[in-house]
Amino acid sequence: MFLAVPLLAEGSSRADLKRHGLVLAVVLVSYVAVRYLTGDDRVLGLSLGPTGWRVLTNLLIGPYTSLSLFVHGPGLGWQWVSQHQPAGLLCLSFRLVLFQPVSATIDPLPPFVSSS
Amino acid sequence: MILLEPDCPVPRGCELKHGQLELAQGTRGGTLDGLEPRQVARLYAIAAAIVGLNVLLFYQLLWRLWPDRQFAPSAPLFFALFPADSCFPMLHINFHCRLAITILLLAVLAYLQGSPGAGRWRVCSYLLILVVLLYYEASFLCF
Repeated sequence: MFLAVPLLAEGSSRADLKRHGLVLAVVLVSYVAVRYLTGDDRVLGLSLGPTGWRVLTNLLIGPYTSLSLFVHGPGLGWQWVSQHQPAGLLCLSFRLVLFQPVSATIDPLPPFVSSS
Repeated sequence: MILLEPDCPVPRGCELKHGQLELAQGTRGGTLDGLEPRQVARLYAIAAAIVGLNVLLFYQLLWRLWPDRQFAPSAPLFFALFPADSCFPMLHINFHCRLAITILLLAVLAYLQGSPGAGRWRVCSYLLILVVLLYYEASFLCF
């Protein structure tokens, strides 16, 4: 949630929220103006098409990168194991011996806890 | 002391961000190459202090919003020790993002400061959020 600090304040009204948004808009426009006047390349390079496309695709790039990590990670790990066979097999054997999978069991409720 | 970056010939805020690591290590360049272990340890101590300050400020914020809830002490610890956040060893994250979060939390606390002097605290919060905007823009929208 963005621009929502007035929602945390006790007794704030819709007018407070509008005033807050207006003040932040003034701050943001002033900031962009100063950066534009000082020749900031990030502001000078803004354009509706490429910047808008980047804003839209950024919503997908982040989740894609995070999810693809679960695909690339095991592949990279196996690649490392295959390239460093003695060390990799040693790591795998340690992993298998030291960290046995624990069977999940549900403890019964204590006698003083009602199950209903 | 404000250090100007070569790609930032006029003061416009980015030197605040890029200068932090240099100010912390007392040299120019912003890299860890050639630093003594003691200097690296000092940088990590400063980074830990920033994280600790964030924990205290987040705790203060939660305590102000929900004083009767028991999650107020545990939530800041989760905020600081979140295991899936692998950025803690990265100094630039601590000096850029987390310091921006520090200023953001200060701004939120200033905004929520009640009377007396609530108006002055509001002005102070907007000045702080302007600093956040100059420092690291991503934290601005959370305000």
